[in-house]
Amino acid sequence: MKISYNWLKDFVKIKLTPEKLAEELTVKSFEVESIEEIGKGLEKIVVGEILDIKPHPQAEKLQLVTVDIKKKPLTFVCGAFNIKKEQKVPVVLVGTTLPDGTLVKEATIRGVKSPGMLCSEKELGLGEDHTGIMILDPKLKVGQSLAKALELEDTILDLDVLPNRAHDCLSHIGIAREVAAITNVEFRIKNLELKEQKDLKIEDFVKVKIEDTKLCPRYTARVVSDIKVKDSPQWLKNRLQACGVRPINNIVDISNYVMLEYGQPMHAFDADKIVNKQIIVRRAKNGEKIITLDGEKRELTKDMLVITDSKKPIAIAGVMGGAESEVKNTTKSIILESANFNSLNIRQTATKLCLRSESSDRFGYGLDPNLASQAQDRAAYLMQELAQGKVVSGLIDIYPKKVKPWKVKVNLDWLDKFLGVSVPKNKVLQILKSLEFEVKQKGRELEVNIPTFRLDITIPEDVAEEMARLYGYSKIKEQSPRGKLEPVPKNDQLYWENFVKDTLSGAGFIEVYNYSFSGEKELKILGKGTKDVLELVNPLNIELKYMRPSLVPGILQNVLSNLRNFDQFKIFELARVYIPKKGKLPDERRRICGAIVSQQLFYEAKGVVELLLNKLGIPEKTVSFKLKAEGWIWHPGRTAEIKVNQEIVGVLGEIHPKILARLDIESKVAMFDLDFDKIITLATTKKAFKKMPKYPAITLDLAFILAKKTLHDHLKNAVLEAGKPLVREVELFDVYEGKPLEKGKKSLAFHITYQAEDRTLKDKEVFRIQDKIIKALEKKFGAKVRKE
Amino acid sequence: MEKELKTIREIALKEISQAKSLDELNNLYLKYFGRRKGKLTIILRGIKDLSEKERPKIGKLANEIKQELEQELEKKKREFQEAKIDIIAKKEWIDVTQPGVKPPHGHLHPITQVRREVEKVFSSMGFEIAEGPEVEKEYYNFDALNIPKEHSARELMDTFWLKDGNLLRTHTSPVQVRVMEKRKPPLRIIAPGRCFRYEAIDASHEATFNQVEGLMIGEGVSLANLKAVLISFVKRFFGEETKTRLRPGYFPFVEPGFELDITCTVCGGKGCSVCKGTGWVEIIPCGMVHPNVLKNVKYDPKKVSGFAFGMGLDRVAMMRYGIDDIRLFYGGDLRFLNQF
Repeated sequence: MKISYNWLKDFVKIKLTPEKLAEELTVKSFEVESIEEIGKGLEKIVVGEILDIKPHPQAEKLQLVTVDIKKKPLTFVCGAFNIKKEQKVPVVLVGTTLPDGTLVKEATIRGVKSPGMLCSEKELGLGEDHTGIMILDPKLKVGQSLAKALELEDTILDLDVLPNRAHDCLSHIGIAREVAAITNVEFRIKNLELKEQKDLKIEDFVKVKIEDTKLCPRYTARVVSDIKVKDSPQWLKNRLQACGVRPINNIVDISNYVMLEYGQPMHAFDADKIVNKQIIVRRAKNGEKIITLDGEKRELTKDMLVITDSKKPIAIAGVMGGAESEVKNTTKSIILESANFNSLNIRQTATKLCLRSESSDRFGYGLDPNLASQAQDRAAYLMQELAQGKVVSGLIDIYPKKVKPWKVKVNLDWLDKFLGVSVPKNKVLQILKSLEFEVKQKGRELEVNIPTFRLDITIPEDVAEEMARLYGYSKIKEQSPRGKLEPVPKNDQLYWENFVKDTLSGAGFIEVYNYSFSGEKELKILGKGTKDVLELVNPLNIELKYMRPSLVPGILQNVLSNLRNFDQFKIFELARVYIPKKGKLPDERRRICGAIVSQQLFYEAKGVVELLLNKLGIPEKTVSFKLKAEGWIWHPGRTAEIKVNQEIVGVLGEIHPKILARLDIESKVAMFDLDFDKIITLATTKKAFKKMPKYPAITLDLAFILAKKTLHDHLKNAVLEAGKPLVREVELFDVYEGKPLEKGKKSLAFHITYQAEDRTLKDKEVFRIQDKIIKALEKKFGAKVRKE
Repeated sequence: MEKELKTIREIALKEISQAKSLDELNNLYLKYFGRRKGKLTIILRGIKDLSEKERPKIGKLANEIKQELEQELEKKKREFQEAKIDIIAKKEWIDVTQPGVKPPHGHLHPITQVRREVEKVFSSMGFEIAEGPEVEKEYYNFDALNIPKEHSARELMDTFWLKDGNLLRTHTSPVQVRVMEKRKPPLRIIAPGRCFRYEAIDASHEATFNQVEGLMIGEGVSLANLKAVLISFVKRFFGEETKTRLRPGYFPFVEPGFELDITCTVCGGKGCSVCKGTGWVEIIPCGMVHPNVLKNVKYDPKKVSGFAFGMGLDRVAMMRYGIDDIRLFYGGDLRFLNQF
């Protein structure tokens, strides 16, 4: 909210400069987002009177204007034609910088020198009008600085008023009260001398009826007759403009002015347009229509509140007035509405109609019903002063349940404990007084009377906030919490999550984060329908319509986009997927999904999975890999299902070339997709030390030629079996296919390690076992030893 | 015999000292110690034929000479070998300015890194790390946190709704409710995790973001405690020189509510474009837990009190690394991720 420093001074004596005030407001009330000085740069712009206008000798679209600025008259070249002799206009001389930063230089235009220029509103930063020269009030003194003549100098603070204070602080009075409390000075509103016309009775002008007092707890109306609709005086226009409101005419301007001053939205109806002089506040009928001030035709529903005359809606309550009863230049008398509406209802109506206004925003936050009559009188007073209106005697005020101040009990010992600081009692009382809170003391117990304009104060904690912020948060000294010194409970999931991420990044993987959303395209890739996935009601766009059931599509997308810049890489994501569960929150399983783009695809990915499971303390002998490709994204000949103790923990393999082609991925890709939550139930940090063997080991190499489809695992197990109990390790070190081997054959070469626990093995013994192994493999697989 | 031995010795020593290569030395070895024709070998072999009187004397001498010559040969050999090693500097020269062979190494996502650091600081202050679901019930995300259906604050937290009636959590605050429901005070937790807001995505807005929520509940937990914990965190995380200020803020689940600002990490408080010239940046919204929230989890607000706070990890990571586009976090671009 834009707050004028000058305007605040109407209510409170400010001892601080605008900058200092902004600092104090920021730490005690609301953040000041910007400070803007207006009228700055206008000191050197002067009021001039036009003496003569002549056509430019060289150009039809220009004129030569001679102006008196209390020195020697000067002649300017001017392109605007809205000016007349004897009018007063703003004059800028060469060497002056305009508010927007432009320096006015001497210019020769079509052969005529111009010693400066005449300005439009826009050029002076005083408004949006740039079509013509700004015409000034004829009463202004020639030669005077424009800033002074228009009383323009002011500082505007833009405050970020918090939502819980919107009900009182979206107004100059609210902020003035804050200033008074912060600087401990008096806040006062000047008495208004409202001259009611005794001979005119309001009952003769309007009758009001509220049909729904829940949605309209209070409605006040005044009538002002014989008004003169015209421009507002300059000072009022200045204030409105400074606060970002465009002046229209004095009647509309006054209702806006009062809203900015009191925070109470008001509405003025043209009294002559109100059929039967009757105002009714009721719920709209379904399908009822109204054309609002913005010219739009709006259809209403029965949950909306409307203001009607005896025939039709004349305003959508608290949101926007109707076009028909709008105040125009011809309006003679007006009915002023200052009411209180239910905040939720106004918010819902505004949302439903997509029609937000300053008024609906304010009502939407909730307002003090007692504000309505104060604002009403202020507006009527301004109408009387600025529109020469006659205030009809009497105020219509329908207010069945008057809101009175309420009490909040605060114990000073509790307060000290809650804040962690002991605020001296007299300081507490002074702060409460500065907020206009009345206090009754009973020892350490305070009974605080809350004025109705502070809707936000209902519990002791609210009072504590007022105390603390005005006492100064900076004065509350930090105090380390006291408590039992105990170790923090372990979070296993997180431990393993970190562990897995570290292991994978240690293995050269780069961690990515993808969105939790996916679209139909991704589901298709997975071969999934839209049934078994969670769907959003309001997705950001159609491609982000579902909650992802798998990390795979996201990773594949990362592969595609990174192939533009890299030809080899490894990436992974450890995150949640969402599996719907009927009647419950979904199963948010964490998965570990990785992709490898490189040479040795499958085996590299397998190596990573093996490393990971090993690091997680899952024994190698409990892990098995079996050729199995479920779903169509996996390569049917190069995919393995991964099991630990017969339980499936994930899948690993190359991506099906068809899927790659469909995604325009021009490289082979291997991936793994593991069930993190299952794996961590099998993981352990336990490690048992095994003594180093006392006697030396002997390692002999053996290569076998066998049928291509013979599985390594079978072969290895056979070697271990035949070599019992002396074979310790069987390690594959070479795989070969091709000449001179026959087609359909391959050679597997192993390092086989022999070792005994109780003696040094003799060569003879080892060779004997080796022969046994060779024979066993010959028998089982038809393997032949390959000789060099 | 004795004379002959001495002559062999002298000649051999001379020849050894004059040898010019390892080959020459090998030939000398064969000349004197060769198995069949070696001069000393022959003599040694002949000793057994000498008279009993001469045998010990000559035998001893021959062995002494043998040892001496062997030692000399060995010494000379080592000289040659070392000389050979001495020239490797030239022979085995490499270009040390050539790039090294990089061991495979990966990168953790910058938000993972920032998150871990935050967790570490709070863990060291006795805060336990808790997690909760990302798909949440309306109750936990709003109602339990003193944001009933009609509350205007709901409009500020634009929410993704699911067709099953649940929603995507708009903050990690529901975790505090879930933990409080299950446990009795005292409690100290932080809850990091992914959150969602229905918001158009641009360089400074994301519909997906990460947050850390914190909560401390106990008897007599005060505003002064909140200050102590958060200021300690800020100093440890952003640097000891960082200054803080507390100013009023509003969040329905706390009362009073604050914004904790820190001096801008870019300009150090002098004012720059990051802090919009104010010298301060808003970093930790926080406050004293609202009594309604305590009541909702069956705690007695007359007996216990507490504070809660939150922090956007994306924002912190952006500040820390000078990242100007939040979308980079979720784009999976390795040119970005490789930098961390």
